[in-house]
Amino acid sequence: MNTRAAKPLILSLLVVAVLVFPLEVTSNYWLNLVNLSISFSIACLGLNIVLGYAGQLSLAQAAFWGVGAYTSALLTTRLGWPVWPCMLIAFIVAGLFGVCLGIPTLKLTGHYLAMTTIGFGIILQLILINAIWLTGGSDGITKIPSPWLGSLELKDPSTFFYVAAFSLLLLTWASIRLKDSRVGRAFLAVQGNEMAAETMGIDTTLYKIMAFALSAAYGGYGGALFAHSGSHYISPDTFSFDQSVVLLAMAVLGGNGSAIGAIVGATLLTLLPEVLRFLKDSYMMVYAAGIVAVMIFMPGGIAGLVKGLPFALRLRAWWNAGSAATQQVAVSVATRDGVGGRPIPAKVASGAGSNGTLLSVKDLAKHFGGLKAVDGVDMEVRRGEIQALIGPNGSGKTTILNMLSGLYVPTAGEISLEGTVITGRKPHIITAHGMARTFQNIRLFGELTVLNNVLIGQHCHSKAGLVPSVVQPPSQQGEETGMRKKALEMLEFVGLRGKEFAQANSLPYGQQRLLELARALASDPKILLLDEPAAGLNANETEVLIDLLFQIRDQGITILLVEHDMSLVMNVSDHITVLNFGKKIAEGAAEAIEKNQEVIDAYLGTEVGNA
Amino acid sequence: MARRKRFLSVALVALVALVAVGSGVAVAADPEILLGFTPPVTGASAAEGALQLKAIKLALKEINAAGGVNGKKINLIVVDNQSTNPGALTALQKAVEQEKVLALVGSVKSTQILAMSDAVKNYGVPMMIGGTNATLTKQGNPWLFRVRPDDSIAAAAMVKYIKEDSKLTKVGILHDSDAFGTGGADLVEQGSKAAGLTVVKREKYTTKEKDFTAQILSLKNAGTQIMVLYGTNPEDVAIIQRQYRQLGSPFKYIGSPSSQMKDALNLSREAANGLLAVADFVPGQSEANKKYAVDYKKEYNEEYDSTSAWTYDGLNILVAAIKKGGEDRAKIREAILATQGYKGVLGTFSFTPNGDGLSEVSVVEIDKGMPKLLKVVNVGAK
Amino acid sequence: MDLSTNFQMLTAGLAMGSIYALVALGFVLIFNAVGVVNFAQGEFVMVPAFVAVWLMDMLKIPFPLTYVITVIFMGVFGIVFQRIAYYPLRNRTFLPVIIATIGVSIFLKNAAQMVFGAEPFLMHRPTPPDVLNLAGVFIDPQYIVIIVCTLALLAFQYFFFEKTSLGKKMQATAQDKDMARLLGIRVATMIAITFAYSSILGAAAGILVGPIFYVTKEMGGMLGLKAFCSTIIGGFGSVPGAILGGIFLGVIEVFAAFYISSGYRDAFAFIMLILVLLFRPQGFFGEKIAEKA
Repeated sequence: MNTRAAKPLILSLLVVAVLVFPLEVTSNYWLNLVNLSISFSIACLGLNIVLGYAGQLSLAQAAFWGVGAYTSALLTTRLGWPVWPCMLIAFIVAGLFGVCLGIPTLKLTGHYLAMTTIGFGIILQLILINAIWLTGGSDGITKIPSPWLGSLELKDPSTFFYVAAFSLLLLTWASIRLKDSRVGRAFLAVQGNEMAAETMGIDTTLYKIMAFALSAAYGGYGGALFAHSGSHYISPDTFSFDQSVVLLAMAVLGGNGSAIGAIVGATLLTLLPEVLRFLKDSYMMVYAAGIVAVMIFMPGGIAGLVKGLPFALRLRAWWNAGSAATQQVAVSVATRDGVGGRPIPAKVASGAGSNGTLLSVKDLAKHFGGLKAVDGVDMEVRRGEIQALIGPNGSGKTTILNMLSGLYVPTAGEISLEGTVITGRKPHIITAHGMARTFQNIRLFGELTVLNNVLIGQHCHSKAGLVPSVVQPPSQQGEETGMRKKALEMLEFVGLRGKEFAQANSLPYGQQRLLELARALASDPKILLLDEPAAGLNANETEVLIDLLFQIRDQGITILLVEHDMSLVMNVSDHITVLNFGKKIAEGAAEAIEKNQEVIDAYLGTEVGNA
Repeated sequence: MARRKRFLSVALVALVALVAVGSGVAVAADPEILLGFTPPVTGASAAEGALQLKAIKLALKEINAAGGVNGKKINLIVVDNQSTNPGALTALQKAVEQEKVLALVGSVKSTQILAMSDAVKNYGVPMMIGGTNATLTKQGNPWLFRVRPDDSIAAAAMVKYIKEDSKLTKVGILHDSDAFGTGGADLVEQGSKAAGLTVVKREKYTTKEKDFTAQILSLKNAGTQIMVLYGTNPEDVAIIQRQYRQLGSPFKYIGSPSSQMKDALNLSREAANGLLAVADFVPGQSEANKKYAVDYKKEYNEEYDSTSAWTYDGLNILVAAIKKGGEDRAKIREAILATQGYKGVLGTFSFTPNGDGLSEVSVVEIDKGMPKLLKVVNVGAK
Repeated sequence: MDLSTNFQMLTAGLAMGSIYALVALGFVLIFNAVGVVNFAQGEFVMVPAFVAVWLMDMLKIPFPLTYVITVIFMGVFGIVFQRIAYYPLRNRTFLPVIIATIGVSIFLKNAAQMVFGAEPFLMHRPTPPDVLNLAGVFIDPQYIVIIVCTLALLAFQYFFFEKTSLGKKMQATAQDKDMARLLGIRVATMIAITFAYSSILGAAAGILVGPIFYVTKEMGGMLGLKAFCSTIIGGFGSVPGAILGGIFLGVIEVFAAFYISSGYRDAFAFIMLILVLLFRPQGFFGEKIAEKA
């Protein structure tokens, strides 16, 4: 059966299952536990977004769960508002709190981030306890109402189950859709390699905040579900750091990055203590030991474990066969002709004139404390040329590239691209203006597919935001199709067809470099900055690279490259700039540079590489 | 690697199957009466849970030794509430639906009782509680029966003692910011104002706080003559008592029952001597608690703890009600409410229509590490 | 506010601060050596406290011997800990390690309850319980011992790491494992020793702090978290930073509790943490490390 027919069938099966479940399972004990698991699952889905997709650790999820619970509870008990809109408001309010957490944590990674989220969560809990005028303090809030469906009050666990289960289905669907979309790819890019993401045109600040906001919003909604069911009572002691740890354990057990995994993890860890009751007071020890064991032996969680099983692989292959991406790739394979070298579709260099200065650098400087890495450099890159920037190690080449692409803020000087001043602007804005780059140490999104890497390159020229990414209306689907088409063309150009669905870090080194190039080209740059593109390539691969560089230039794209391979440099460069100790010591055509005594003394040595 | 993955997969499937099959197979038994108990066996309140279990098991032993109820033994099903609110609800549901208990002894923590309250009402199952938050028996839930004096009584007793016996007028309050501490502090503040005393300052602390210098000095600076302490954890209370002494005992001290509980006195030792507190009961106050002290010591080879004794009385009163009303929940309920003048360990129980059993507390002074009765205060149930 | 109240609070703050500093010391060491945030560091204080109580109360072993045994026990404990919670994860990213150490923390708390029961324990003090009165300021002699020991440990640490060969090897391992390996340093051994030493510092903290905090399974929890805050405030990776961060935190907390709000006392540690991370992420003494592009 093909996937087009399967999807609606699966959906109807799920709906039927949900409708039938409370009729089969009538024990309040189990239904309450199931509702609790769903509430936790939704919180874990949130964690999956911020941690699994965007790679930002949050140990404050229980606090957002609490914010949602309190928001909805307070609005319904104090103001008497109906439950449904209050749950929605809880989603939004929690999301806003998530923004508040996102902002101070932007520059933090790893442990700093972990500690900050812990602190945030503890502060929120203390507010719940101490701001008695607002929250009622430690006494909590009693008699939280149930939602009404018309004239039916959904106050039993069995009727509330419908609310919980359908919410879960909806939010899971949204999470899964999100992953395979422009916004989802942006999250994954931030996790994969934040610096590369930024230079690919992704506003990492925006997406990190978005991830925290979404995650908090999910958590808040889960909390609202919790408040309006079960005990219909909440008190601050439930929303503790320990609970955040449990939620994190659930998400990690389920498998980072997997929405279904989050649900499985949450359900298992909610129901497990019930089953382990026979262990009495040692069950917490078993639980804790289990967490450690999972970390050691199953780092990918349950999802990771299941992923590698043969039946899962077959299932995934069958499911993916129906995806738009696979179909598009298959179709384009069938219709293409020839192998490699097909030119990029004609794209005329924009802007006034075709022989003017594209990139202008005046008096650029970068000081790190007392170290003057770059000390007053003037440069011009003319439109349509290939210029090389060479010099000994430590002469400031990569520093200049970093300043051009926005990763460093210059200490002094000015950079203009096509007349627009871009000094000190953020990398993703510079990319949107038409500058793309590759890195000295390859910075691919290793865990993502080749195709996705190139799609991410197109981020700044596509526009699907959060809602279209989830809902996927025809306009978004059309955009995706167009992006894939272009991506396939880029891959064709560098010679990586056939590898679209391979994981990027499974490619051999030379092909990874080509992929980085394809990704940079996908962003439609006016100028391409290449940082040692030939490093680590053998003679054959270098030939291919030279060929590509010429083809790129012929398409009207300007190239500025930093390179140590002198034969390459002499071969391709229209113009060479030489640096030493942060200053420009020479510039000119290849022949002139070869003979320049100062350059020879500083760098080339008397034995010039064979041209 | 493949083999390990397979092994892990099998283990995982087994685990999921275990969860799916679940637990809660009721054990068929020879005629016995199933009663439930939902203490915190694990989690933050595990220490109290352990003491409560000791007390209730002593009661259980004595009841079954005396023949149980009409020849049927009592089987006490203990379900851990994990010290959390969701855990309390789950424990209750498991006890009632899966283990099919007739009635229960519940929890001592008011927040957990509130978490269970709706379900108790829906099930219509009698539950003996030890929570002291005054509102618990005023929510219109006819199935909760409180076997400890509630906070309004303890607070009123403190205020009365301060006004009439210590004759001091400037009161400072230090309390745990949890539900118990805050509720008690509110009652003391209201009661003091109503009695014409001045509350000069109110300070609080988060549970498990380790240093109270700031709070004690703040109360001192505000001119406190007598401090009322509403604390929850014994170790917190012990640190307060010690630091209070170390800072020169700048005012008088009267505390909630935690200030004289066994675990706290074990830690603060000499520092507690001379301090005043309110207690559910005092050793030697009645025949019943003299006997309890002796039996407990014999069974566990240690001194009893007064704050957990409610489970002993709770189980006894419940069983007495079953004897009278049979195994019918509604009749048990009537029987409990009809219990008047029952001489328990904690005092003489006479149930009000709301379900409150006790209306007197004792004011004690710590003497050589043990609470010594100063006076019994009966302020009547409110 | 009068001076004597403020001095009293300053004393209390310095006392609590040196406890944070002591715990932070052990924590910074592990982080420097292996880049791991040990979320079980608080339990490194709780476990030896229980062991010491058991030795002193149940087995009636005298103080000095108890301390020695506890220290040795914790040394071994540290090595076992790193073998279980760190070693299998040493090549992974930080997330599994954070979770694994959290898992160990929960395990240890519950194990302590299983073995010793849930009630709090009194640890007998080596110092007399009578408070000293220095110029109108009351100070518990145990706090003086804590401050002195912390300083002594700091001095010992400086001497050890800067002047001895073993110490320098440990520093080298912390800075660049691969290079250390190439120089013939047995990296696995150095790491084991680091954990053992950090664990021993935990033993010192547990023994010193036990009589004041009383011994419960929760005694380490917030202590560990605040020690982390101290290290970050002082500068992650900096040993003097950890100490000063701890003391600074202890003092701020007391004054904030007095003048601002006692209910929010715990929040101040984390507010300080967030402020420092926002405005001076390298802490007061740490170093900025830039990522190479």
